[in-house]
Amino acid sequence: MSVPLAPILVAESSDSAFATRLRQVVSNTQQNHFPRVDYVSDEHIQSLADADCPWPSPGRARFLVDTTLKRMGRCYHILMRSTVLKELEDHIQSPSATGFSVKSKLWAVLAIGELYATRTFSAFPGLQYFAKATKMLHITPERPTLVAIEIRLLLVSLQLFQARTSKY
Amino acid sequence: MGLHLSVPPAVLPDATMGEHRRRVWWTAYTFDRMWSAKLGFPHAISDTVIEIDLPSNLPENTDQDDIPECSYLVAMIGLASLTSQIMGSIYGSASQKTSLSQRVQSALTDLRKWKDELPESLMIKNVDLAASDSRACYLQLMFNQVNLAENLPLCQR
Repeated sequence: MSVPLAPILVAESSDSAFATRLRQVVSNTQQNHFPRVDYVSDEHIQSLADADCPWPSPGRARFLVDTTLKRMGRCYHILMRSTVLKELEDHIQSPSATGFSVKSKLWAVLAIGELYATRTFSAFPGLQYFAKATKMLHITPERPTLVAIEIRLLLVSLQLFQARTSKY
Repeated sequence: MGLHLSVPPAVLPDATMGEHRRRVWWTAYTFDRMWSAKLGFPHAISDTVIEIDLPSNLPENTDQDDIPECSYLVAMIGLASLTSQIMGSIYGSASQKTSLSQRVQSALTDLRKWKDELPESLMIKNVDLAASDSRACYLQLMFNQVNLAENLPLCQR
């Protein structure tokens, strides 16, 4: 097949064109197409990862974890419900006893919960939790664990949401 | 850590954990296939290396919140696999034996077959989406996206 006739998939750019069309259809006001360049900078994520981030109140944390399990957990199997809930309760009881990987997993779960639970936002919701969870990626675990895979799957879905959300 | 290999019960006696492990693998597989197709990148996992079974149901006395019924996951994995095959056949750069319209036609047949084989609970029968399972809607949306991506080259001609 000659090159000019071969179809080429331009997924990302067509997505932002689609986003514009959708905004034009659902909105009553004039909507112009604009290139999506409003991404969170690496430096900002890095600074959030290094900054202190207060743990949400037990009630809020339970709500966010439950939201993640009910929303994302319904479509994708990444977490075991009973395990995460137990890890959360253990962490609430004695935060200092929680291991690094479990803590990262909980941060990632909170970030996804925040993303689903927040109705209106200017910045990306749950970004500080996401930044905290990415600290797990700074190390290469000595031994392979399922938790490490779970965290990566959670983070990669967050990054996709992040890329998609910035288009609208 | 070899998630794509099956682990005999003698090594991992906890059936719930075994099923969780299997499902986590298939989630990684689905992400790989779906997102590589959407972003226009090659996928990373080859079908030939996978030796693990598809998700299955555990006995009724296990916690259904931990390991829900598997038909949705199996349907999603099927669609993910089909999507990457279709995108490869339509947008792949390797020389193709059949014409584009024939390939689109055959992709369409494969997709219809997948849809016809969906279990009753995951089908959307009427326009009342609110009454349907949200997962059925999600599958339908993914199905529509693949359909669009597959027909796009013909529309652009």
